Amino acid sequence: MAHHGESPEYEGLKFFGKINASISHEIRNTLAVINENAGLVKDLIMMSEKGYPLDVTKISEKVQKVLDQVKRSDKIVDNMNRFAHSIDSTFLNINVCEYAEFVVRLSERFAAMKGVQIKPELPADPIEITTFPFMFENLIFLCIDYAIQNPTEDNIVLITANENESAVMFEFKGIASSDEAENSFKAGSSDILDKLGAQIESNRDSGSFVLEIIKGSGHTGI
Amino acid sequence: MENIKVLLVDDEAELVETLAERLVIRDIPADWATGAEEALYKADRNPYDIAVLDVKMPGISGIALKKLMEQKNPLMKFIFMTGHGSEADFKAGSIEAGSEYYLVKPVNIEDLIKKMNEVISVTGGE
Repeated sequence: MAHHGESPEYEGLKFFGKINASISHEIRNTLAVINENAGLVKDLIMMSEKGYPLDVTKISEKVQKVLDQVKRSDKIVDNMNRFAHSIDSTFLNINVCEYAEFVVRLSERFAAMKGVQIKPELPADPIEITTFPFMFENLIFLCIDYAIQNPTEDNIVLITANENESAVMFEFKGIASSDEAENSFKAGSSDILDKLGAQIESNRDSGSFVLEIIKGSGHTGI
Repeated sequence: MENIKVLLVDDEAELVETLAERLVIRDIPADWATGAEEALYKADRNPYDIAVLDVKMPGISGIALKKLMEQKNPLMKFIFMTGHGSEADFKAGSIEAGSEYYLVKPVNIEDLIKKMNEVISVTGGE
């Protein structure tokens, strides 16, 4: 979590680094599975050279597992590529629900490590604002990170969204936070909130908070 | 190595299942588990000599799991695997794990067996 006084630029770099580290970890996992399956195929072939019967069905099964992991890696790299390109434009009309869903996908590993499940229940119809996409992703990530660090006992974080004429609201439910954690979260995200024309309203009684982004009020650029 | 028994623990089931199969081909008895609960259950029922643990798993770290497994079997030895591959991470992980028996994924099976031999031969003299 950021400390008050860290610039949005530095916060953005930390976000970029954190996501890239997570993605590289995921890629290493797929490589590790490919490595073992390919290694086992090699072992079986070497055994056949020593006179053991070659189990073609097993070889075929292991090759399929390698192909499955290549597909999995491809999806991870797609996410990495999309994330890298989110810095390309500092002023873009975006469907915030689609971007929030994307950040949820990027955050799933962090949530899994904490034993927390993130459930986005976002509207199918687009909710659009003009904003700096990367900074918006960063803000959603900070909200998710705060939520998964401070979950209620069921370890489920629910995310919903709606809009009115003047603002877009994301609600995060399933939060059991201390004063200290909440204050740290608000202080750490304050500069990004300012940049995007957003604010956070907590409701500790209901274990939720609302991220409100005022349409047309956010600065863009870094 | 025929007399040692190994438990592999990683949340990537396909990884530990296949790695275990490859160790068995090399006459090293190996079981696998995909989480702490399953690992502790198996460790309760089997006299493993070595556990190979992923450093980061859902809900618990490999380091925390090592401490729980040591309570069950103080003689068990540990090797860690990680998906974080930088030199800095390696050093930080080794210090945190209190172990130099630390491998970066994807793991070369011959390197793993070499580490197993090292951990057994070093601790065998204790």
